[in-house]
Amino acid sequence: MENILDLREQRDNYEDELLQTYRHTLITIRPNFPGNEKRNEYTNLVSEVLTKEISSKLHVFKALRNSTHEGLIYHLIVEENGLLAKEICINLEEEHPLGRLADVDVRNRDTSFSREHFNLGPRKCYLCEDDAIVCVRSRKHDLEDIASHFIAVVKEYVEHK
Amino acid sequence: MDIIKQAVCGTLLSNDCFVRLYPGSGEIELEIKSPVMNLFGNQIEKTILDTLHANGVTSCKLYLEDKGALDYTIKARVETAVKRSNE
Repeated sequence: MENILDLREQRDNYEDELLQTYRHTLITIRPNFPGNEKRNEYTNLVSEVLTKEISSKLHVFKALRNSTHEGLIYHLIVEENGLLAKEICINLEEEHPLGRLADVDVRNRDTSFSREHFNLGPRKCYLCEDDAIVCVRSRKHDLEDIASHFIAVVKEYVEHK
Repeated sequence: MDIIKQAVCGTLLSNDCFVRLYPGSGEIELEIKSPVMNLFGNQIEKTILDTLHANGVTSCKLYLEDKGALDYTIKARVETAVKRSNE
């Protein structure tokens, strides 16, 4: 666990550095998969597909790819302002078949844009109707069930695309 | 053990928490911000206090902003903040 927490702190610092360097909007795309090893063929596919989708809708200035235990993570520096970028990313999270399986964060130097900026409530759990944040904290579901759901959604997408 | 200097740990990324630890004035003062404060505020507070006690801290101010962290994440972030404040 220590490792994934260290990685997250390092990534936060890295994102701050990117924002200092590029002074644009930063989008971070990462798979939302349970456990301490998030890197696998399914999570990689989710990151790749969603990054391609976002890249086709926005003007990407620079794309950076990092693969760690946190999974395959893309950082995109885009020309659009943060609010517009977040709106497009929320639509993708809501409407794309793989959208629920990733966290797409949008930040600029001053603000981290959230669903609250659009009066949207917190995201729902993969498996039930509760808010995901509540299920995670109360450990309502087995990690294996959550992982199986993630994999099943990806498999179905691959078969039907 | 007293907290000698200010230290921070963690992030405001999803499923994490950010901790800022300051020297105290003889007691433990907590300020907690969490989207699940109503449901889990007591549990978060207990985790922080248990971790501080286990690390021998009897006086400090601690600010924690939760972004959906689990207890072991909160525990690890508080522990590291204590460690850093004594480095």
